[in-house]
Amino acid sequence: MKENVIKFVKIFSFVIIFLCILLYLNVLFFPKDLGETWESVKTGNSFYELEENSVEVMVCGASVLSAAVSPYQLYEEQGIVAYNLALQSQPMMASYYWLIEALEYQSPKVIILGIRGATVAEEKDEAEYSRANNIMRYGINKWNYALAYKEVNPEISLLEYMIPLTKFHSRWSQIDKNDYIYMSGSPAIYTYTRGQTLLSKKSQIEYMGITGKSDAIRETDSESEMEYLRKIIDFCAENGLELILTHTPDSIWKDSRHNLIQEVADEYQISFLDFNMQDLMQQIEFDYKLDANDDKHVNYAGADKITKYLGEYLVQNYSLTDFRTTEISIGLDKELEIYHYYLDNAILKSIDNVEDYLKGLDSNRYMLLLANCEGVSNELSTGLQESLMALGFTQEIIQGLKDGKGCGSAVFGNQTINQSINMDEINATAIYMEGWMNEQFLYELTSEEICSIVIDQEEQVKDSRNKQLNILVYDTYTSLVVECFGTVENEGILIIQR
Amino acid sequence: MGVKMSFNNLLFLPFLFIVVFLYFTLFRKKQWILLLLTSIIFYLFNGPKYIVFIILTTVSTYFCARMIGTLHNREKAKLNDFNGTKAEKKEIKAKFTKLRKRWLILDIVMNIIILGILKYTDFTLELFGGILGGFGISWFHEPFNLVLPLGISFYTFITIGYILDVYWKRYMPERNLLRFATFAFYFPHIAQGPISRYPKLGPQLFANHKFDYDRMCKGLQLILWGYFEKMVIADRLAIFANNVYADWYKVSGLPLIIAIIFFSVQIYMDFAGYVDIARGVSIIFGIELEKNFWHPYFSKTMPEFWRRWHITLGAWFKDYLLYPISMAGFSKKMNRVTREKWGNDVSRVCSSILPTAVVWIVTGIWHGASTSYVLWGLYHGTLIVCSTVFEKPIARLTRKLKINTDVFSFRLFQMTRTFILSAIGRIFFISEGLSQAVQIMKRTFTIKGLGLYGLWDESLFNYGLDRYDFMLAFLLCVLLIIVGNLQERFCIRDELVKQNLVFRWFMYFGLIFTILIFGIYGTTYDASAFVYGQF
Repeated sequence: MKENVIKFVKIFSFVIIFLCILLYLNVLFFPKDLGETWESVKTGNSFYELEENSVEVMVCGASVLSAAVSPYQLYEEQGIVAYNLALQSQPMMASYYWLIEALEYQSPKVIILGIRGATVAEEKDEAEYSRANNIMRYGINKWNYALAYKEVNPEISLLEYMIPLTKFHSRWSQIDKNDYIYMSGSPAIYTYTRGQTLLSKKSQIEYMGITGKSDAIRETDSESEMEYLRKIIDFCAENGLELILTHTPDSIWKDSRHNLIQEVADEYQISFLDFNMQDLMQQIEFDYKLDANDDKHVNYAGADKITKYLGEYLVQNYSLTDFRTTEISIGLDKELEIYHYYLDNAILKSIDNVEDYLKGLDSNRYMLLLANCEGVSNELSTGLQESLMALGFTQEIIQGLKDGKGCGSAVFGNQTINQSINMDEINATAIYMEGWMNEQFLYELTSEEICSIVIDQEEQVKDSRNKQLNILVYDTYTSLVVECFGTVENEGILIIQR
Repeated sequence: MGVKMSFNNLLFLPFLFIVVFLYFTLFRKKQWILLLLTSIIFYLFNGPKYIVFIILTTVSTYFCARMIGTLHNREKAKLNDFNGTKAEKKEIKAKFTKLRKRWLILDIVMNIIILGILKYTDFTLELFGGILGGFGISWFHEPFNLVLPLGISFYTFITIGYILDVYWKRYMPERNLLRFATFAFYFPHIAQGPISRYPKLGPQLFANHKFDYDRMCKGLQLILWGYFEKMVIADRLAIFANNVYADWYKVSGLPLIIAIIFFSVQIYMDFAGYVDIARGVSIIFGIELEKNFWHPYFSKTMPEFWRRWHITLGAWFKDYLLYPISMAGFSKKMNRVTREKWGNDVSRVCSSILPTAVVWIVTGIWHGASTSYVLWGLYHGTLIVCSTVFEKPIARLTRKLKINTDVFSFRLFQMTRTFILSAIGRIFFISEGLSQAVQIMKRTFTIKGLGLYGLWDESLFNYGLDRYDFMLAFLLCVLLIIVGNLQERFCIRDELVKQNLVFRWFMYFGLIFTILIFGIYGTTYDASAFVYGQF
């Protein structure tokens, strides 16, 4: 009898240990998008960290909405507590199951749903469905989502969706720093924008919007995705949620697609805010050239305009709480401050003129690393020289840059930390940085041959030989490398080449 | 049923779990019935319409063996009661032998015909067309591409072995058809062997086995190791080998050399992996299946290689083909004539040529219906005969040259030589005919296009395995040598059982997660079927 008990305990322990290791490896192996433009995994992680039932407005949809709606701006301007749960390339099916999942943790009053996925499904492959599922916690919604997708795509294996290790095990040779950062539960795996993706580019695309008056045939790429739009509408109705359908400026949007969604909105008598409509675009003064990042995503400036409009619309049409005067504002105000650090960096990344860029830098916040290739001389305007000196670069270095000497320097707080002219290499440990990403980091500046800036053994400037003034900007407030760029001369002005 | 059941199918493990549970609970008093039912279900999963062939073979063999058994009994009874002369007794014996032979031939012919039609029709038609072509007559028939019933080559041999043993009075036939069917259908050995013998497997199948925790652990260990061999080693090496051989005419030298090494290890690991899983499953049931491999690539000679590779098939051919041919009247006569004319040594060689040639041609054909397999069989037959012919001269030569044969370096040389010879044979295995085999060999063993630069540049990573996978494949081959070496000295599993729990579990988890992480499987891969499943 005793022997049998021991055997049972052994088997039980074995299974438990096996499951623990399996769970660990499941998380380790699924692909994270840390460090990439769209960090959907952070959006999911931060969502689960939210205080329960603390959100009144939930944003669902794909990347276009993730780029367009700033929950912190909604809070700052209108006192609305929102969360942007829109994930990269999220299919409508994923939005549906994520919405159900969201309601397990939050009780929002209003749902803002991006509808692009219901009509534009050309890019939706298995990976898009899989991504949204990977981020979801284990539970019935994750299972139902996988099951629903299996109906659409019978080729997939449910086991692979439930045990990601069996799907992603071939990543064993690609497991990198980010995977371990993720496992460590570091702050780097959370979003500091409540799910918004801050984009900085300027599209330079001429797009004036649509009229919605075309008689074009109603068009969608995927009937099943349209079906999920209807399911979401029904689900919101059943749960007493106010639903706003929306689509942000998108240069490849069409009247036919708008009209299809408008018909659905009219049928169910729900709001449809299409920011592609010319009158709405004009009303919010949306300039696609400057406010859009590319052919379909808006940048931080466009997000600012859309969020402002949405905030006013929400306040006018729904009875939402102004949380700025409540207890939870203490925490939110702190978060808002951090959000602004990220916003500052996004704005910084949109500047092309080197002089303007450097002028805007706070030397007590940003650390700069600079490397110049031997034989590459720089025409530095007086203004640029002054900016460099204001940041802490010495006259010697500036002269070296002008003379085309291989040189490198690191500055912070108006002071030079390291510098070398006619150098082979600088290997140094940067000053102590308060923050979570890298309390200390190793950098390396080389001026000969490759002329590069290396941090933690990772080369930051690519193709540096063909660029002047290779600069790396490190934000000590967020403990992140903001960006790393070279410069090129254009009509006597140094322009950033990213 | 759209899903196929195989050891490397995801469905198999839950299937096994349920069977094991029922085996030791609901069916604990009639375990063999569960094994029969399970085996039928397993077979049905792999193509329900093909079950008719194995039923036909099972029933016919059962019936013919029973008839032979009855004739044995009748003969015995008659002779016991008979008081006639010796000549009359001999006459009675001859009469019964003739009758028994009829049943034997009837069964063997029927089974061979089924096997022949299903497996060799296209090959025969192709051969026929080729012969007619030789006479200037153009004739071509579209191949039928018949799908082979699961394990047809294996269960045909298992049943033929059974009826021959009954015919030779080695044991009496099984009286219960369902029991005999359990033996023929037994799912762990049905697809790829080992080719079991009734007196050894039968009693184990029909005995009642109590649940034994330690035995289950041992079985699971073997199953895990089998999956490791198949999924981590064989299927990884297969990626490289398949990619190289898909474009063999574009490459030469190093990639082909590595491909043939990888293919040799792949086919070994693939087959050994299956057998280890089959043996592991059986151990859980309390049934011991025979070993089919014993580190064949550590063999010093080709005959030794064949004693270590596919052991049960080799034993089958030895017992049911080689010996009968060797003991046949014409062989004895030839032996006598050659001995009188040229002495013992020459006679020994001459008398071994015919049976060896027959055995190896049949071995080749057994593997598949193509000239490549026949050539492969002939190649090995030639090597076996050569090793018999040159055994003594080489021994004399090494003595004269004062070569110390009892040192590691010489043994290493012998093992390498045997590996190379068997690897060359693999080229026949993968080629479509002699000319292609010769072309591949030319491209493989070239000095001009050896392409050693492949060791430095990235070109070796263009065949489906990236740098890391390639290095892992290489490491796995090294690991295999180490494990094989250890196993030659002691039983690793027995040694593992003696270790403390922490170490044991560390090893188990290590193996499980090595399979899960480094195994080649999943929807993104085309899961490889077991290579020997096609034979």
